Amino acid sequence: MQVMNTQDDKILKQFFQENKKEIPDTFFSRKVMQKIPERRKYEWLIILLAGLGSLISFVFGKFEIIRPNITIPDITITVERGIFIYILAGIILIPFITLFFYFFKTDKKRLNF
Amino acid sequence: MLVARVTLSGDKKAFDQLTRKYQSSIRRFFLNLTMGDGQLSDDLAQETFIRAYMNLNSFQGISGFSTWLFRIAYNIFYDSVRSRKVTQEINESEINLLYQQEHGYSSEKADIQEAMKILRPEERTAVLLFYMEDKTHPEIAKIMQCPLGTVKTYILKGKEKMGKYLKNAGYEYAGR
Repeated sequence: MQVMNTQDDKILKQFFQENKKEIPDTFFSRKVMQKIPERRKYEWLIILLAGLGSLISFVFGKFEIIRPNITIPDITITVERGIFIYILAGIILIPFITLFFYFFKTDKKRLNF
Repeated sequence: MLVARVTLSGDKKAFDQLTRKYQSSIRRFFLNLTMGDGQLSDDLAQETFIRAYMNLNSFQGISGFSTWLFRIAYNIFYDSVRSRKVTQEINESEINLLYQQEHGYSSEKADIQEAMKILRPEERTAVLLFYMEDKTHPEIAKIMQCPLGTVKTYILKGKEKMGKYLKNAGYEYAGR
């Protein structure tokens, strides 16, 4: 059985090596390069958006810290302040949402290799 | 070095060099898996290189670049089989029938495409990677994402079937 296996092994090695042919490129790589998308540009856009979102959050967040000290609390202002906090919360979420989608997309593509 | 250039700076020229270096083995792999369908092989090979470029950030260099590329190729091929049903997959009964007809091989010269047909898809992939692309058992296990023992079984079964086929087809071992 062992002898037969070794014999099969030799036959197969020879057979496959005889049939192993190099395939000439003939414009194949050029076609591939033409179809390759601009990967880097997209990544920079995501990083730029995340940075912009972080900056807006920082600026508005700072303003919000100061604002309560200069505001006289009454019913009208409380309502305005409530809307302002919602808007602020939305802006603060921008970088987190952007980064979440960025990493989610990266993880999905990852081949764990 | 080329891989690092593409990963770090998205160097397209470096990727072009990688494509030229590996195109032959990837296209040959597909050509044998698709039983000689050149057009389909080239389409799948193109998809492989594009997907490799898009996912280069996830290549951690634990295995060789070639092994990583073959794994993408393997996934693309079986995605294609599942979704498009383009290849002429032979069902199990047909394979067994073909295999049992040991004296029915009419071709005088052993043909690789015909020889591939007697194997099950997993056996075919493992045998091709081992004997034609010179991959080791652990590398094939990574490419096919299955245990090492399973890979060894695929190769052993494939070897037995092909050995019989080749002998019946009159193919002889030239060496000692």
